[in-house]
Amino acid sequence: MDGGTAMAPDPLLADLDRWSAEFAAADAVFEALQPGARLGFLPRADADAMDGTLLVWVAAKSGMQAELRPFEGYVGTGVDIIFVPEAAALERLHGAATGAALATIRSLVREGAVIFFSMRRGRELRALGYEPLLDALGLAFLGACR
Amino acid sequence: MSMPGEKKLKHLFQPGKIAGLKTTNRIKYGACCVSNYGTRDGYITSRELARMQVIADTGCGIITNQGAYPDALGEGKAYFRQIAIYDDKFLPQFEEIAGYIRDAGAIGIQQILHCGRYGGIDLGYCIQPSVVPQTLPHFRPAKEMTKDHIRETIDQHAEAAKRSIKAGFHGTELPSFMGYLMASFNSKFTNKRTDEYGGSVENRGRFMCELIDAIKQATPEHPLVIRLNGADLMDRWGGNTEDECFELMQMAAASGVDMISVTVGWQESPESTIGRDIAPGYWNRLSKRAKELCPDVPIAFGQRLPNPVDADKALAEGVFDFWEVCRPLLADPDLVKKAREDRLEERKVCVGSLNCLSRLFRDLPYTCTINPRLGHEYEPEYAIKPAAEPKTVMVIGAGPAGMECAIAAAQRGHKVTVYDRAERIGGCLVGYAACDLANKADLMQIVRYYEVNAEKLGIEVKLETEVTPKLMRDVLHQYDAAVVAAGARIEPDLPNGGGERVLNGLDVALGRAQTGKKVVVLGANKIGLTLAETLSSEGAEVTLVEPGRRVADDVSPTWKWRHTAWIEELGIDARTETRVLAIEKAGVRVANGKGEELIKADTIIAATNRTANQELFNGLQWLVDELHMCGDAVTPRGLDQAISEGYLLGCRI
Repeated sequence: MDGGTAMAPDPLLADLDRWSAEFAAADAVFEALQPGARLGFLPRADADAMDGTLLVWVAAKSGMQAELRPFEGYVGTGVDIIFVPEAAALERLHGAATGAALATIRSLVREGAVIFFSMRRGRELRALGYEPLLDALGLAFLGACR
Repeated sequence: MSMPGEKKLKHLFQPGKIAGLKTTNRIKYGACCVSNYGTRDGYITSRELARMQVIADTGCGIITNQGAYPDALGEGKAYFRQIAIYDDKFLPQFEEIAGYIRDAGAIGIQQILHCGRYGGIDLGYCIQPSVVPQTLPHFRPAKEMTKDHIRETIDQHAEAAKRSIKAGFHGTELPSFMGYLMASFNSKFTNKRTDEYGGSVENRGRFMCELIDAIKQATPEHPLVIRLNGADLMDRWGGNTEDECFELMQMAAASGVDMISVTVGWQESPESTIGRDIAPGYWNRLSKRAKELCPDVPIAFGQRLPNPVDADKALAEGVFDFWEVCRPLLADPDLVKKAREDRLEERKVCVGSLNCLSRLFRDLPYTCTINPRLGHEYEPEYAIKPAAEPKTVMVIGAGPAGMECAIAAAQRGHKVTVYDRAERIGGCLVGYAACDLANKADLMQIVRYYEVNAEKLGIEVKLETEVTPKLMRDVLHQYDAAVVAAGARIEPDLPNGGGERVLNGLDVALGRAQTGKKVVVLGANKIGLTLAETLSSEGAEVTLVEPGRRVADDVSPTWKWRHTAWIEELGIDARTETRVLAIEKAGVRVANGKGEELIKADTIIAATNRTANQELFNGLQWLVDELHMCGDAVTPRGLDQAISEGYLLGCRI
């Protein structure tokens, strides 16, 4: 983990053991990700302030690797998608049983407590192997049709 | 006011005024979404001209032409075949449309639609006040606008407004709803600027006020309408509150707009706005507040208010000054005429299926579930023309395909008899409507349309009459043509069809079978989902078993997310990639990636594997001169295909 220049992240966000266990439990969803695919987690307070720490999970052959990066705005984050949880949502996510985090994120996104940001176009995400993850989170169904 | 409907709906049909121009009534056709009938490079096509001829003739006092993007680069272009107005080369077709509207005695308004956050469809990026990523992967990454770019964009809008007037429109319209460019400046969700265009409400609204000012200066004698949200529905994500939306509305009023069209929501708002799951009149409070806060500017409104009677009442109560209506007129372009002639019971009703929007976001031209002619007005094959020789026509099946065929054929002069073994018109739609969590009454209005128009056209409907070989022998030579519109049945892919233990989903939907408290529904497509949802909402514990990877595979994009949301809200256990091994006394034995399991159930319902009812077609081959087939009897599909196919057959039989 490269904590070099980044601000101290939210302790729940930085509980890497917790999130690693989750990635392992949902291995089938993440194994389709191409090496180098990057998911970001950004606490809502940091997103609102346009300043803070982005927790980035990078897909590697050996599994998902974590790193922290300073966040000063969305330009140049280098990630493919970002989840922005409200503080209570992050707490709920952290407290979910191992293996239940994806279902919890899915509900939280639907409730509006987690914002899902796509940093790439849909077809680019599919090429990077995000389809199983987007399916699992119900994001494939989110259309611009209300 | 000499027509009977004008007396009944006197508020709707009273004259109005916009910027000193008189309108014949208080109905504004709103440019609710683009048609996607243009060419890829922005020209209006003959298909679009034919559609607009029909729209111009609807009888509305004000008619808004769909949004055209104002920049040559296409940063404002969001839709695959959106029309453009950045150059005089596009003018001839705009002139034609303005002419249709003027000839119809209406006020013509051209909408200038820069889609901003949703734009740049051909460019791979979009422009915004700040770089805030998309919440829907459908759209494109953002670039921040410089001040020079802002000024250039304002100039492009002013030029587009001048061009609109040159084409013959009376005025122009700026849309700031749905998350388009102006909305993205107004919203604190997408506007993170620290210069004079960002920060406070006043600063965020600066772009809007400068746009208004530029257009008013460019076209000082002509009305300018602005579309503004009463609620963005983005506040949970840090967007504007309703109070801020209304502050911005007051700023627009103070800047000199001539009408405010009140709207709701962004494309990415995480809740419904205009689907049939929203009760008619639900958003009226926003219009009422706009009237209170902006008393000197006419307010137009019509979000999820499809019924002219409700609109007339709201006008009487001062909720708005003009009823703004679009989709109900796409569903039935004769709606205003029928209202005027007091024939509203004959109208086709927009049921908020949002097929129109679903298709737009698949880059397809829009169509309407209810109105098969929409987008085909220029094709003679879709017109009701007198039959060369009247025939006696037998239609077997009173579902949507059969009834559309019967009505179209009768309108052309044929003598039509419809047979159905059920006790009422509607076919499977009756069952589907009964299970529709969104709005049961809306879908039943389609059935009502068939009942009323069958009677009006003298179509004989023989219910509780099954067409059998014996009946066919009895009526031999009585009919010149027969249409098999017998629909489809469920045949589960189980040994012995699952046996008596398994109920048929259509029987359950139509109330012909009783269910228990612990239910397994086999198949999580449209039928299975609606059954599971309604049984769950009535208190049953429901498990859905679906062999495919996803639920809702045969559901339109507009409704997929609603079904998935309902499944979660109702706590329905949806097992995907799960196959049935056996039907047992205690329940259903299934297998999936986690192994085998017995799901206990007192009721098992088959809702998958639909088979077309084609046996009659084969049986009638030598008994009638002309034999046709339409709807699910051809191959099981959905309501829009049934309606379209039945209508087309009725047009040519």
